[in-house]
Amino acid sequence: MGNQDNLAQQFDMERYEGKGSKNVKSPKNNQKPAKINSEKNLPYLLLLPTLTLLAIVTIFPIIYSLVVSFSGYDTFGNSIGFTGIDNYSNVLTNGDFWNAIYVTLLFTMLSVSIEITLGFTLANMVSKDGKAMQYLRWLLIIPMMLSPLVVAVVFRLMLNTDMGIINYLLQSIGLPKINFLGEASLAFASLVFVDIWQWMPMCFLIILAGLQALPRDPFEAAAIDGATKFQIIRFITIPMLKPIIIVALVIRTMDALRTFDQVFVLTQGGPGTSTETISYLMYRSAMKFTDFGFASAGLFIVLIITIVISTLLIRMMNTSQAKG
Amino acid sequence: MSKFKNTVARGELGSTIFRYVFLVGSILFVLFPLYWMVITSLKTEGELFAKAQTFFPKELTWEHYFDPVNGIFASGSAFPQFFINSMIVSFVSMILCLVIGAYAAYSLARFKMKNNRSEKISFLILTARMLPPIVVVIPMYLIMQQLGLINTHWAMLIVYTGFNLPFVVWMLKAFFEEIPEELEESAMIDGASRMKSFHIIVLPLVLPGFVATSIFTLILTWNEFMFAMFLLNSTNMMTLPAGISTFITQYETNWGALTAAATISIIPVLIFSFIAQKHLVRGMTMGAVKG
Repeated sequence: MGNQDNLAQQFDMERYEGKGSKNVKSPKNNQKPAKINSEKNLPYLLLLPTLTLLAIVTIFPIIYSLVVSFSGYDTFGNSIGFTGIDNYSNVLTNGDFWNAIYVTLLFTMLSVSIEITLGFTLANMVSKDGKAMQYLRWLLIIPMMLSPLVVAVVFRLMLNTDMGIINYLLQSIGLPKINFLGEASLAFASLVFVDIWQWMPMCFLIILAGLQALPRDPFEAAAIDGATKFQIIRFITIPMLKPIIIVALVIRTMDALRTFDQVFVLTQGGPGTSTETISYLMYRSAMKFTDFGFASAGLFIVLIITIVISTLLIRMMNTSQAKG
Repeated sequence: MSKFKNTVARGELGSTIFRYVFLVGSILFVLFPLYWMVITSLKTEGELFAKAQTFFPKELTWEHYFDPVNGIFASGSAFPQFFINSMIVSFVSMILCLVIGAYAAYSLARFKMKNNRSEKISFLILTARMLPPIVVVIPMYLIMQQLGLINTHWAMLIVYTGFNLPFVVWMLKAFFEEIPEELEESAMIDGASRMKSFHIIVLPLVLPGFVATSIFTLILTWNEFMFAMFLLNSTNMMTLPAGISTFITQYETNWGALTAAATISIIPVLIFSFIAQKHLVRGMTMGAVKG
């Protein structure tokens, strides 16, 4: 807040100076250097509050956890001092950690690829139809605006073994009850399903916006030349939409990698550790076992993995945009 | 030529049917869970646990909302406090975000710094958005504990404002870039300072962008769970997602109250999002795709 006040003062002063120089009507060559000077620092000044706050919530905690990652903690969460690289070797030899990485990556790849495929199909179906598109867009906004936690609560009710509507429907057509959240592969599939429900609409909307911005000519030319629908999509739509599809891919991947809320509500990582994402494992080791050292070391490794993935994705986005 | 037209028409009929089946299917797929949530909250206790589930409740009841003992708005219930807390935290942090972020966005959109620095800074801000919150939340918990800010709204405001800034900066930057620079230049020729022309000329023009950005910021904060769960631990401080998560264990079988709480908690978000519909795609992609 202090920064904010300072900045406001500086703006006022500048405004004041501006007025003053206007009244004096100083010769142009006198006015110019002053302006250049104030312009030189102004951009940085305007950025200062944002960068300061960002440093407080990102860089500062990361440095803090770097320190913590070299310390041991007892079962009450009290620091017991410097333990060197013990935490890192513990993390890297921990089966749960590698399992969580596997679960997170598999979850991300499955749900994001299905979401993009479905979103792409749906967008291609409504792109021509103005009315249908409007209504659908109006309806499809809802899931992605909801809190993932609330969505997970609703699905927890629907997937319930005894009184869930899905099991009721299965029974009414003569199938046995299924304990969706109690079996490893089903619990994992349920998480993917919930993610698709919530985020497929977002892929749809992004791709639809891209489709509507495409020029019509290539499509008309291809139709005149007798190209089939499949050929049009394969050889015209997909290449032209590639930059937009990659934007959707990047944004969805970033979010899917951090999945936590749904796991918290639906499975608590279980049964066993079959649905334990990285975020959930870190939560469990920090809050349940108060092993902050272990968690911080794990977070550092996660941070490095995330940086690698984001760099790759951003590079992908930049090259595709440069071409497109 | 007529033969060609015929095949097109025949092919079109098949694909039209397929299209509508697919469309109706996806609408049902999206809407059913929401419908189920709302009607579950309106069913009587007997109907909720009946052997045969009902798609259209025989009897509607408001008991899960307004029952003086068990309803979520009962005097002993913590739910109204969750709602108020969410309101306070989301609105205050939204205002902070906009005020702080607008200047940064303007700086990045307008000034050409040497060595391409403004692009580098934009990228740096974007990477902050890519940081998984879990990486920050555990050290943040330890830091807030030492500062004595655990279980206060101050902690939430710092975290939410900081974490939503990249979003706000990127989105507003895209809006600022659309305003022609000549407008400010002409104001500056008339003697206004850079900041005065920003406040008087540019800000009013990007007002729609501000509305859209503020609504998305509100929604992001309103829905956030992980930070709230780590940093808040008493029911009179919790925001809605954190509060509802405590309901899950507390009312494991009380689905009526749980769905009633869920229903009320999404109403503000629905209202916000319909206002900002037009800017939806842009909001979801931080301005990367124009919608």
